[in-house]
Amino acid sequence: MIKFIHIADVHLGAQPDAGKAYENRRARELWESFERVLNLCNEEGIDLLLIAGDLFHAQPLLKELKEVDYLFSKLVKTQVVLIAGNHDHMKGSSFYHSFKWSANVFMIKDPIKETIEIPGLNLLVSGFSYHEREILIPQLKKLPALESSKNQILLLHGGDQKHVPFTKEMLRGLNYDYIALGHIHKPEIVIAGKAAYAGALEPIDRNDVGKHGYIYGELAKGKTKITFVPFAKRSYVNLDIKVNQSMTAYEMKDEVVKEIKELGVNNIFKVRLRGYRQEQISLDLTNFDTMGNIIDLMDDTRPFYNFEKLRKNNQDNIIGKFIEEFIDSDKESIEYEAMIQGITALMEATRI
Amino acid sequence: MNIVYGENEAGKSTIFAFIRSMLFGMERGRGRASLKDDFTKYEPFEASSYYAGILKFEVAGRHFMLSRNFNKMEKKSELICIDDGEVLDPDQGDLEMILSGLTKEVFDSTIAISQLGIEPNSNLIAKFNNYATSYYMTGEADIDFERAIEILEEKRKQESKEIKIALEKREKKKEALESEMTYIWRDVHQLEEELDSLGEEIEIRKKEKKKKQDVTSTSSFRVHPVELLFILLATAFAFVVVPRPWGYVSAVVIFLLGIIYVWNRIKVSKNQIKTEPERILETLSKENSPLPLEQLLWKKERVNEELLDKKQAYYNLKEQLQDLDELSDLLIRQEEKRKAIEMAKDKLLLLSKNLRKDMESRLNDKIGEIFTEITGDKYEKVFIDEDYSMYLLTSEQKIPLFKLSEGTVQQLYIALRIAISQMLFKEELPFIFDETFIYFDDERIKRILNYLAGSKRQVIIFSCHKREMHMLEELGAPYQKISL
Repeated sequence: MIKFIHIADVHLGAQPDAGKAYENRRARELWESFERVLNLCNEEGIDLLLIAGDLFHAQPLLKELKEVDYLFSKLVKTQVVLIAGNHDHMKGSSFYHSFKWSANVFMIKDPIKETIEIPGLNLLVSGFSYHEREILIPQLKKLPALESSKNQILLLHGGDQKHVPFTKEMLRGLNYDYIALGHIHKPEIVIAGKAAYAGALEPIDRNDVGKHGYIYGELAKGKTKITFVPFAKRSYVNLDIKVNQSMTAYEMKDEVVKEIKELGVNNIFKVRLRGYRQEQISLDLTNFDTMGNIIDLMDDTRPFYNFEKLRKNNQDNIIGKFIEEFIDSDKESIEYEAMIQGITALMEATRI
Repeated sequence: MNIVYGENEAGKSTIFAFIRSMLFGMERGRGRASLKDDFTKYEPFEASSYYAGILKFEVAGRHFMLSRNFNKMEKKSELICIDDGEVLDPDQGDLEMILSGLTKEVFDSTIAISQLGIEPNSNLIAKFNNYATSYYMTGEADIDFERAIEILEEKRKQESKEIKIALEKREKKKEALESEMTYIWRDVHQLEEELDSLGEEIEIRKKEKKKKQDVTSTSSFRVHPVELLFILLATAFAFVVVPRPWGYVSAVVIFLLGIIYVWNRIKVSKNQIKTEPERILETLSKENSPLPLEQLLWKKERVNEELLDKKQAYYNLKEQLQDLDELSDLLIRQEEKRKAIEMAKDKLLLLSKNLRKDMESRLNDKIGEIFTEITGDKYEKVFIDEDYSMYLLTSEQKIPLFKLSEGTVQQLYIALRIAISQMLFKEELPFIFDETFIYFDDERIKRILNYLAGSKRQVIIFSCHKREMHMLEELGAPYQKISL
């Protein structure tokens, strides 16, 4: 049985978005989590570490490669196979070409297909590395598994329009025991026991909400069992706060703080306020980020107006005519927003 | 229809002033103006402490009683609804509300129609535009339209400002990246220069080393074997060829010379091979002692690595810079909000312009209608231009007022007033004519009375002539006579 860990999109060197509290640490935390995975490999006696591309966020510097290789060299039993993804693609000047890895590390460098045999594991690992930023053709045709009694794993980075587009069916047709996917930051088991995105080890940009970590797998007799293990130090969380007409601005702020505490103060939040609020309340969002972990704060609340009623009551004057222009537009459109803004202004200008 | 008839000095204008003062209160003038203001003018000659009045009126079936005391000591006003006893406050706007928003200004401009010449038509129309636009646009809601536009403009500026701030932040980030890039590029240059100079030095050293090697290789034989052979041959030659006894001597001499020569050579070579400690001493004593070649080569490799790393780092920063140009979500939303606000403002302005035009054309039509009825002429159209000047439109031309006869102008004037009143007020307020028809000829008076009698409004005509009354009788129109 082969015990393996599959990671991807570590993006070492990136400076992810973080609130004031964490922005200085985030880059370092990517390295720390990477190190933690390697320690885990030692602790759990992992046979194989698969890195499905984008280990680095940009062209790796020589000193960065040396650091990573040093960490690899501390692995007791684990063998490492890695490929280059679209972010760390092997340009002509890339150090990947000439870098000498430790003995337990194998880098698949060919741009089309390369297969290496892992000593002692009865295993072939195939794949290719990116030499360009984008690959628009579905290169999978060149990647079917070989005829062999050995176990076979494919390392593949891609899956969207500009980076080796493919479908689930195409993956199935390749006949590998396991396909270790990279590029999509959201972890996903695409085909149970057969193919999965490990997702980014740590969330990298604000859209990477949800859990992040690695895939742990066991491959025996041609069958693979995989599980996703959350491992990231922090997550981005989309926080939607529903407000209602009875709430004051302070109340809304307290609600935000309460939710953040519940979901974990060490996470990074994108807060959106939605719902209908009292007409007179105006929101000043500048003080909402009390704990320094909010990176996005959007006010989507709308003052409560019954537009239909307003239109009926004002059919022959400007209010009614104004509403008529916009009332049929999509609720998310600029036109609808224009209607709200106009009516709000007219209401605010009412002489009482 | 009511005729208030009284000869001069009977008090008609006093009654008119009374109505006006009851409805709107009486303001005292300040300083000099107080000598001739209404208050003083109408103060009772006798019993000036009793300067008060009561006005009863009916609006939409409800009956009210308004009483005021103008005496400066006991100033008081009271408004009661007679039907249900409700007590209202005339000074807090209750009265104005009941009268459909009638203020003193509006009263003077519309339903109080006095002698011609008090207010030029253009002023009137301009004022009308102001009152009516608001009323027409916002109906009963009483919204300050200008203020609403102002509010939208303020919001738009706010959004634009926030967008600007966000863009500035991004610019700062870009600048920081760019300056970091320049530093790195400087380092790259320095490293390249260092690399070049190292390269040169290494070349020199290599050449030197080679030279040294050549030198030592050529001097590996301290005494070249060919030279030895030559000496021996020379000796042998001398011995054999040159006749005896000179042969021995020359052979010995040559042999000796040869030995001296070989001896010299050995000596010289010995000088060249220095001992180890001597060499070290030499290197230490020299001032700019150059590094040995191996060290130079190793240093060059290090510098080259650093240079490549720096170049890579520069390239990475450049990519980061490009990524910054992509629009963030927040920026997109802010931009959308700004657009929405602009859209709302533009639409409101457009609608108001349309409503205004609509209203103006309606006014034109109404004036035309009323005018036609009053003059009995075939349908005449009225036209009001941007300066609010009135023209009479026939099928051929636009006639300005000054070309019309006095009487016609007066009729137009009345028609205008009536039209405005009809458009402004929901309720049909009474028309009050204060000696208006003094300059009208009989025909004209008949026409206007006919028109007024036909409407359901209360009409109060103050006159010092009996003409109006006779006309009404001729028309068979009922009226109430109030003699003073």
